This record gives sequence, C-alpha cells and structure tokens, in this order.
Amino acid sequence: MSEHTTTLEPTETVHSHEEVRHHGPKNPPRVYLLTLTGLLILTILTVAVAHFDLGEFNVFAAIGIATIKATLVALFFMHLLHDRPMNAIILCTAFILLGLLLSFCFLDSGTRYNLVPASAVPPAGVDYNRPKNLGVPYAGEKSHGKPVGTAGPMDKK
Amino acid sequence: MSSISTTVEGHAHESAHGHHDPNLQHHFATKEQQFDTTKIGMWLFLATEILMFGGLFAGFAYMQSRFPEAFFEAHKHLQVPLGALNTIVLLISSFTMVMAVHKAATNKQKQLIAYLTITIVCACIFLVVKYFEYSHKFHDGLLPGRFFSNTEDPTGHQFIFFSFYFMMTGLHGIHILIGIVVLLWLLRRAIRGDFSRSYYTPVDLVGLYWHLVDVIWIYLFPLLYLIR
Repeated sequence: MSEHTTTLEPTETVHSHEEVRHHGPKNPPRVYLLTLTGLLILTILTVAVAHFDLGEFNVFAAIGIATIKATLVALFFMHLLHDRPMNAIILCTAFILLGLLLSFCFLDSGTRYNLVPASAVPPAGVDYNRPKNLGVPYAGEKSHGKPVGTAGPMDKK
Repeated sequence: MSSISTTVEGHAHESAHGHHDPNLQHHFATKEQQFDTTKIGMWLFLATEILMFGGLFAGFAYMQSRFPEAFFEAHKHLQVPLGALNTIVLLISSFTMVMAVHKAATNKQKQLIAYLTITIVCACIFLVVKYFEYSHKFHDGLLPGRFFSNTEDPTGHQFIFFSFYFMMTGLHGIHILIGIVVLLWLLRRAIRGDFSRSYYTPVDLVGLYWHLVDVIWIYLFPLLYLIR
C-alpha cells in the first residue's frame, strides 16, 4: 500500500500556494464573511438605485447588480472558484441556453403586438386587442366607450 | 480516526483487504472520485432548476415589455422593506449554510449543528414574512389571472403581473419549503454523527441547492419589487 495520503487532513485554512483542493475546506471563514458583507452592501445599493429614475438604465442596473451578487455566491459560496471546471461549465451551459430562450422570446415580442389568446375573456371595460404602442388609447380606459371583446383596428390583416 | 485515512492509489487495494468504508460505494475508486461524481450530478440538477425558473423569467420579461405601465402600477402594491428584509435573511442563511459545510469539512460537529439550525431558522423567517405579504395581497384581491378582484386597477392588466408574482415567488417558496425539509434531515444526521471531514457530501450538496435558491431570489427581488 502506498504511503502517500490524500488531502483529508483537518486543515483550518486553504494553503496559500497553488494547491487545488477539491475535497475538504475550500476557503477560510474570513472569505465567507467578506462575501456576505459584499452581498449585503450590493443589496442596499440595488434598493438605493431604484429610488432614482435612470430611464432605460434602471432595469440594466438592477440586473447588473443581481448578476454581480449571483457571481459572488457562485464563486465563493458554491466554491466554483476552487472547484473542478466541469461544474462551472454545466452552470454556464444553463445560462447560455437561458440566453437563447430570452433572445428568441424578444425576437418574437418585437415583431408582434397582440399577445392575448382570442379565447380569453377580458374584465369589464378592458379590450385586449388594442395595441398600446401605436398611439391608440391605453387598454383599460373606460372612456374609450368601445364594446368589450371586439376586435381592435389592427386585427384587420 | 485512523479508519478514515485513505490513499488515492491504494484504496481499491485497501478495500480488497476488507477495510471497506461504508460511505464509499464499491464502483468508485476513491472517495474523492465519488465526491466529484456526486457533485456533477447535483450541478446537472441545478442546471435544470435554472432552466425551469428561466422559463418563468422569460415569460415575465416578455409580458413586462408588453405591459410596462400595468407592471409598474402593480409593483407598487409590493412592500419593498419586506422584500429587502427577506433578501437579507436569505443572504445570511446562505452564509450560515456555507459555514455549516466548512464546519463539516473541518470536523466541527457542534458548530455544524449550530449553523444548520440558524439556516433553518432563517428559512422559516423568510416563509413567515412571505405569509404576511401573501395575506396582504389576498386581502386586497391582488390575485393571479381571473381571480384578480382589486377594483383600483387603472391599467386593466395588473392581473398578468400578479400571475407571474404568485407563480415565481410561489415556486421559489416551495423550494424554500423543500430546503427546510432537507435541512432538517441533515440536522438529524449531523446530530447522529454521520458527517466527518472524510464524508460530508450531503451537507455540501444541500449547500449548493440552498445557494441556488438564494441566487433565484437575488434576481426575483429587483425584478418584482424594484422595477420602474
């Protein structure tokens, strides 16, 4: 039997040199505490940013900060920084597929306006068939006086 | 503790001599190989979770781009302080979870049990806050689809927002609930003394699941509560 033992010894901290440890403790608790502090600061930041009207930039700021937070969680809490690359590849694949789904959704939504199925029964005073982005009064305004459920002007194809 | 010292090259050798570790399945050469294999399986499961929630996120983004006014009016019914509180609670629970993994990996039994308990308490706080939020929505008739009965809706499309709100936070809440059950199972095993530095795979995998649930909330919070 070989005398060479694996890295299963109880060690409190990760060795500073370039030793890749896949089993056993990966980060010292200090790293986790710093990660948590960063995450809490970013949470306060994302709430603070929402108070300012940045126009189109608002949603990008919100998603951007959320992505930084998710990356921190993945790298340190989920140990991807010190783990085998295969796990990170699996995670990235999921996000690439999600990106594909989102991009095709927006290709679709950018080229049509009426999203509600014809069988849907609208609430009183609401007309699903009125496209709001073509200068027509906003759906739900009762002053329009249009009978509920009738086809909008854009349905004449 | 001598029974848990294994060797990379010599483990198959060792088991052939009859010193078989009950935590090492016979089709794996070493514990490290078993740990890595199990972890890849967990990551594949997490990938399917991302895609399941991803479908809802895509639907939300699609409808939000069609009815921005309705979504903006509807999101005002959500209480940002409660959402922020839940975010902080979940972040802290993620920290205690990773500390539990660390304590298991360093053979600290009592601290492992303590950190698991704090994680479960945080998960319960999250659900209690969610309960108060939900009962407020139920009271105001802010319900999904045709159940929407709030009369002060100037846009006529707020029901779409609440369909997504209840679907996304509901599915996330179910994940928290499952997380609590699995964490209780971990706690029972930890008290029984099942985990040590040579075998803590279940703690590590539940930790990954718990962090993913946290990551999903990290995205849900700004999208639902803070959009303008």
